[in-house]
Amino acid sequence: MTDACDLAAVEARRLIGLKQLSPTELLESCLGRIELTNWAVNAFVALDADAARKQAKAAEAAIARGEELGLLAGLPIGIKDLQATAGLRTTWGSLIYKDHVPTEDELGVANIRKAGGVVLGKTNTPEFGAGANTRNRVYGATGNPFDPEKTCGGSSGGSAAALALGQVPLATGSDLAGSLRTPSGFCGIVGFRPSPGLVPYVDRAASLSPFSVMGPMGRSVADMHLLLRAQAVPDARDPFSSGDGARIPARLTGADLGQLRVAVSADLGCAPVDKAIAEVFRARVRLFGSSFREVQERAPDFGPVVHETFETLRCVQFVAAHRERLESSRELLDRNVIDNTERGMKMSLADVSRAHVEQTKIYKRFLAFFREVDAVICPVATVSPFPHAQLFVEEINGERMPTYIRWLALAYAPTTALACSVALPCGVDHKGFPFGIQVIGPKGTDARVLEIAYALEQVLAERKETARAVPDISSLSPHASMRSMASP
Amino acid sequence: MAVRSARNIEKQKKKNRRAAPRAKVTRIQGNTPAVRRRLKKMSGKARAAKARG
Repeated sequence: MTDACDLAAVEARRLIGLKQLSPTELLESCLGRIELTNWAVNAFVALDADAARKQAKAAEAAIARGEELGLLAGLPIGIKDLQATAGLRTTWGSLIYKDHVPTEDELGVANIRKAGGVVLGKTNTPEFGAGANTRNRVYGATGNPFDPEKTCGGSSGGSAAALALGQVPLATGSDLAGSLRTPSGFCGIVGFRPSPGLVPYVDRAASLSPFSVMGPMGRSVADMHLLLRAQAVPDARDPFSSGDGARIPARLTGADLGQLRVAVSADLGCAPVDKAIAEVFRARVRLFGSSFREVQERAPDFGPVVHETFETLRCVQFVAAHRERLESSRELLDRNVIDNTERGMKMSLADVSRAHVEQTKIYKRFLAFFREVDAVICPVATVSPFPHAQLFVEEINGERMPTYIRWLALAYAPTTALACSVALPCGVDHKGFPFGIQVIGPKGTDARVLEIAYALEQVLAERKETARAVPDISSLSPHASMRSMASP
Repeated sequence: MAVRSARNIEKQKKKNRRAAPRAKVTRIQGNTPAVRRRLKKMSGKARAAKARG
């Protein structure tokens, strides 16, 4: 029998609407799964079960009264710990805020509540989302559901691990250098980096830099699409916010893949990719490639300075967000935040200006590339999940990585071009961990990319080699370095 | 960009209708009563360890 917590979000929502599943029953099932599995992975780091039960009861009462139900009515949602939740501890993974309980919801959380979602708790993240290994000094590390000794990716790692284990049907994330996509790839779930502005984000320290976006995560494209619709509510406080949400279809029908030309690339022409991962990708393309009209082995031209361009513009965000914290509370900050902020403070206006000029060129070349293809497909991550005790990937194919984010180039190159991208599960890699692929489109083509991903997901589900990997909870084992769940 | 025609949408819908029903692989693996008992025990131990230290 399927536990309620294992139901797809769209199915659970449908059953709630038909009064065949009560929000309380679903919530208790999720809490039960958290009780069984969270000690091993540390995905949820703060829970407010009592408040969630009250929200579930309120949803039940609304159903009983025959009220019009919101998109997320009665669905428990995990919220990344970078989003403030009223009355529920929000730490941003930082010792500076280890006891912080906000009085107001961040915009994205407020929109989820408005849509009837039940805010169940907070999911773990690296400090201020810096890095793709979910660990911090407040809550410790989050383990991969397929092997808790390995990283679940990041920075939305808690959300990804929680989804993979069926702790919640939906969860939120954010993405700068792949934070929605890398953990989705490592945990075998679906994450979507929307175009800047589709999901409004009003808490960027420097609002004219659109690289950092909020987005949805789920166990399928349809589930993730449900949460996206609740998130894509325009808000003028984000200068990039637009009415593009209106173009997201209410129901996905799936693109006709047989009409599409796609570019496939194991490395996007710029990323250091583990040879075994590149081989897994090529083997998978051989399996699903025939679904498309045309598959071209090529990549957009990101140019010779995409890494420096991204890293410089990323540093603008770090300096804007953390310069004052670094001066006042350096001893409480983690290495990644300190290093990035300090590196940014050494940069000159000329460096930043040059990066903006290069980014403009990359963006234009990227748009031009899509005159010849409908989508780009590449791996989500350059490596297989590694031990979370190791802060980041230091070497790929014997080559030393010059920065702690270089191994994320497959994710941040599209970010630099302001692309939207769906991370889709595509079987397992050479080590037996989930393997993910990205379906990428230019800015503003979110609806199209979702339709392609939805159709491709169905193709992938038909083969054992490309179907979504699901963790085995009987193999979960204790892990010393993880702390157990915190109370709000 | 390839344009999706109404005819193709209909064709896809028809294909979907005709497709053999396939169980969605969403259920967690290894979810047996014995495993749940063991995990519950481990969960209790983890909580006790945290309370101690």
